[in-house]
Amino acid sequence: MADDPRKDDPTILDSDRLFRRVKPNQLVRLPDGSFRPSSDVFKNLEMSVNIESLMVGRSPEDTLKGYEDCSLTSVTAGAVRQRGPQFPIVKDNAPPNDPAHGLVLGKKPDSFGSAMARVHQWVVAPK
Amino acid sequence: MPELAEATYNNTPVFALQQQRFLANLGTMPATDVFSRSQRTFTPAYAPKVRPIEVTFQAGNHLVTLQYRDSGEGLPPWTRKVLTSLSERWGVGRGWDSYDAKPTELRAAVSLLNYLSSILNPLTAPPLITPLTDGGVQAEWHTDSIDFEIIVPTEGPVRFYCYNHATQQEEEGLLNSAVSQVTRIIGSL
Repeated sequence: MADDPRKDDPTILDSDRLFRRVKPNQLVRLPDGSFRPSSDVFKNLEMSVNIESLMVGRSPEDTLKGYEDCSLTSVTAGAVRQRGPQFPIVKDNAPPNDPAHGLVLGKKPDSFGSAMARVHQWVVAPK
Repeated sequence: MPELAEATYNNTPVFALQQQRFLANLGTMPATDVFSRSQRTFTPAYAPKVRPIEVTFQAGNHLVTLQYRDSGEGLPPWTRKVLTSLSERWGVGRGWDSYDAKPTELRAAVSLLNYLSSILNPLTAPPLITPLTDGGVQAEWHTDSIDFEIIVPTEGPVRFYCYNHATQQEEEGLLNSAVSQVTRIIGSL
């Protein structure tokens, strides 16, 4: 990552939501009966997301197209940036990629994944 | 959720802890020899006779039989729930997470079982097992007061992470170098 020339993209605003699919086997039931994503959902070296402001004319749920068994979660770009500059958010929408596709870069410690799991918001909650 | 897969115990309905020893070299055992490391490194003259117990569970598309070396106390009480959780959540095939996850590896699951058999006590609530996108597995507990995870990646050492909701304090590190810390956390679950 230290040699990765990609820098955080300031055109992705802190308020932008980043959408990520969650499979049923990544769901964790909490003591109150609700579900949250496992922290590992947010720990990929290049974490693939859809960026809300780039989903022009599309609903967030479009991220689930072809993956109807998934839930859809979101964290804001601001929440990612609060964890430090070592997690730059970049666009990755050159064809043939999804025009809304982005990446959260950087090796993520366990605390990063857990922090995201604590602040995440369901867009499409588990059934 | 995926179809529930039951863990079965070869004519042995109960499980028990062996001598509790935390071992620094837990990651070196062959994949199918589970729960037996303490026997290999702790064999005093008065060690009880060891008998194998076979434990079978569904790992993706395969039935896997593991062997537990019982010294007379049977299988730990958490075993059934842990194996069921492991079966239900096994990551099958490349991209099982809808992105690019690697399939769950048996050696990671076995390593986790060995760690759990070394650090849990009979009263510890069974953890939930979730797959990691690198092919590893994770045990996690979530209570009103803490989130606690034991992370077994396919590469690199086993780690732990703990978050205290009341104090917002985080603890994380390598499991092998924080045994007393981890034991304390487990005692509070």
